[in-house]
Amino acid sequence: MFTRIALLSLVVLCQVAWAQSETSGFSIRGVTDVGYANTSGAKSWLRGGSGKLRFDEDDNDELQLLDIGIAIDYAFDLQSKFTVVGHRYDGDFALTEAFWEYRPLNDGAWRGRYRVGAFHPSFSLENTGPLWTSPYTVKSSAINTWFGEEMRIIGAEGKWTWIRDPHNKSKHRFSLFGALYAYNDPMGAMISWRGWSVHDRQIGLNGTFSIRDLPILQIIDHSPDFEPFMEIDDRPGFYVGSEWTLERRFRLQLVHYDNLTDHTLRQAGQYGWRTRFSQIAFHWRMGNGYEVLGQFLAGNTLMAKDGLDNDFEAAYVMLVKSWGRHRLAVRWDVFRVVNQSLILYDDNFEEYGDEDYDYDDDDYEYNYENYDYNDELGNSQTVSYSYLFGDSWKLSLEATRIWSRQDSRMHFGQNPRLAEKQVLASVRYYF
Amino acid sequence: MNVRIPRLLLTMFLMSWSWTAAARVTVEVVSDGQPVQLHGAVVSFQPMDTERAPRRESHSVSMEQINRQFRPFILPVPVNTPVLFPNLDETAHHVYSFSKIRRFELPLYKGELPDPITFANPGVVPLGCNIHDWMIGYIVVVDSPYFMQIDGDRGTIETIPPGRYEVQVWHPALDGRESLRELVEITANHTKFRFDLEFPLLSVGQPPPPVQRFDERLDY
Repeated sequence: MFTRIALLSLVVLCQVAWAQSETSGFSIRGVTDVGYANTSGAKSWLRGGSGKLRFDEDDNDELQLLDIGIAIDYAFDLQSKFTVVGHRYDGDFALTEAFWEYRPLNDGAWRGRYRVGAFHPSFSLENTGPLWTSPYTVKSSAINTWFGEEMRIIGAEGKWTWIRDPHNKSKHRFSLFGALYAYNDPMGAMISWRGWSVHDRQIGLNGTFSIRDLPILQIIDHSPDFEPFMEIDDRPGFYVGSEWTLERRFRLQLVHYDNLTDHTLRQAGQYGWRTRFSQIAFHWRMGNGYEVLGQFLAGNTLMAKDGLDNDFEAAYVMLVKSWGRHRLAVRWDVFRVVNQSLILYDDNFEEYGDEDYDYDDDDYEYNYENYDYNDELGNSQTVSYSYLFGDSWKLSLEATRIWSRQDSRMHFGQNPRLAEKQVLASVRYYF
Repeated sequence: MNVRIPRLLLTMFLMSWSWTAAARVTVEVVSDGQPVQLHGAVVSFQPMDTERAPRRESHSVSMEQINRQFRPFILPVPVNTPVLFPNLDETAHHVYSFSKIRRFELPLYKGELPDPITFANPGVVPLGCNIHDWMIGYIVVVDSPYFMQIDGDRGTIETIPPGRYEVQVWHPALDGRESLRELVEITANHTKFRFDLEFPLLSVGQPPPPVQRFDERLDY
C-alpha cells in the first residue's frame, strides 16, 4: 500500500518537474489508474486459473493499482518525435512501446505518417486514448485485449492519406497503411491455449506470462512462460489496411494481418505460430453524443508441423452516449476458437486425429486426457459509466459478465461452462 | 475627334472631383433573385483608370490561431502586407500553405511569434495545420487598397473614389466555375452592385474543432 502511494506521489512529482510542452525537447505524459474490482467466477488466468479476467476473488477486498503508465516524448521538431511508453501493472514493469514517428508535410493532397520501432498498430478504433487506453471502458474488448497482449509491430509502418480537395477540406479521405515487422512469431498461443480475454493489461516487449498447466505444454516441452515478442524464423510478417473517413462522422477500416511465421520451428521452448486474420471495423459518430463502434475479426493460427490448427473469430459492437462530462458505453463481445485439427498427442507429438470427436455433442464421452482441446465459445457484456472531473480525472464504474465454454477446462476437472462477473470502480488520473 | 475632347475633359473634370468626393458602394450576391449568405467573402475593387492604385502604408495584419482554428477564417490583405501568425493556443501549430502565390511552412510554438510573411502577388492562399488536420483558413491577397468583406448577404465599402473598377468576389463556398468578376463604373449615384450566382454554393465553411477530451487522443 505504501509502495503504491509512493509511486503515485512520484508520478505527480514527475509531472511537476517535467512541465508538459510541445516545443522541441522532452515532454512526459501518462495515466494512473486506481480501483476496486469485485469478481466472481474463477481464478484469473494470470494466477494460472481458467478465469478470463485480470482479477479474481482473491483481489476483492484490495485496492488495486490498475496502471501507472508513463510516456516520454522527445520532439525533434513538430514533424518528428521519439516516444517510449512503459506501464506498471500488478508490480510488473512493461515496456510497451518505443518508436520514432515522422509526419512530414507533403503537398497538401496527401500526407504520410511513418513509424519505426515497437508500437501498437494503427488499427484499433477502440483503444484511442493516451497510452493505448480505451476512452470508453476500462477493460478493452476481447479483440483489443488480445492485440494488447500478443501483437506489437516491431518494425516499420507507413500510413498515407489522400485528401481529394485539400483546399476545401474535402469530406472524404482515403488511407492506405501497412507495416513490415519481426519478433511476433509466437502470436496466437494465448487465444489458443488460454482463450479470449477481457482486460486492460498490455504485455511489455520484455514481457512473459504463464498460463494454466495444460498437459500439452509438457508433452511438447513448451516453456511454462510465454514470450509473445520473439523472432523464430528470421522472416518478417506484414499487415496492410485501408480506411475511408467521411469527415469525423464515419470511419471504415479493413485490415489483413499475417505474421508469415514458419510454424514448424521452435526456439528456446517457444513455438512459431503462423497467425493471420482479416478485420473490418467501423466508428460512426451519429450526432447528439451517440456513437457506435464495431470490429469483426476472423483468422487462423497454425503451430507445429501437422499440429495445431485453430480458426478464431471475435467481434464486438459498442454503443456510446456522451453528454457533458458523462459517458455511458455498452459493449457486446462474442468470440470463439474452433479446433480444425484436434491433436491426439502421444509421447512423440506426432499423432493426431479428430474422426471420433464431436465437440457439439454434450453426451459424447470425452477421453480428454489425450487431446489438446482449444475449442472455445463465449460472449461478454460490459456496461461502463464514466465521469470526467477537473482537467485530468476520470471516474469509471463498470460491470462485466463473461460467459464461455472452453473444453480445455476438463483437463482440470472443471465444468467447461463458466460465467464470470466483475464490478469495477476506477479513478484515473491523466497527466 | 470633336466629340471626344469634351468627353475627355469631362472625364478629367469628374476624376479630379471624384478624389475628393468618395462614394459609398454596396455589393450583394443573389441566387435566383434571393439574397445569398456569403459571410466573409472578399470583394476587391481594382481601379482601371489609373496605372497603379495609390499605395497604402502597409502595416501588418494577423492571422491568429485560437481554439485550434484560424481567426479570421478569411483574411483579405493588400499585396506586400506583412502577415503575422500569432499562436494564442496552449498547443503548437504547424501552419503551411501550398498555394501558387507562395508556399511556406511555419512551426508555431506556443508563445513564439515568427517573422511575418508577405505576398507579392494577388491570389488566394489556403492555410492548413499539419498537426490539427481540420484547421483551414484563407488569406486573400488583393492588388488594390479598395476591398471589403461581405457581412451576411451584403457588404459596403465606405469610401471609394468614383471611376471604373474591376470588382471581384471570392469565397471558398463559390463553385470553381463561378466567375464573380465585373467591370463597373462607380459614380456618385451608382453605388449598388449585384452579382447573380450561376451555380449553387458549396457546403464549405470553417469546420469546428473536435471536442477535446483528455481521455481521447485525436488521430489526425
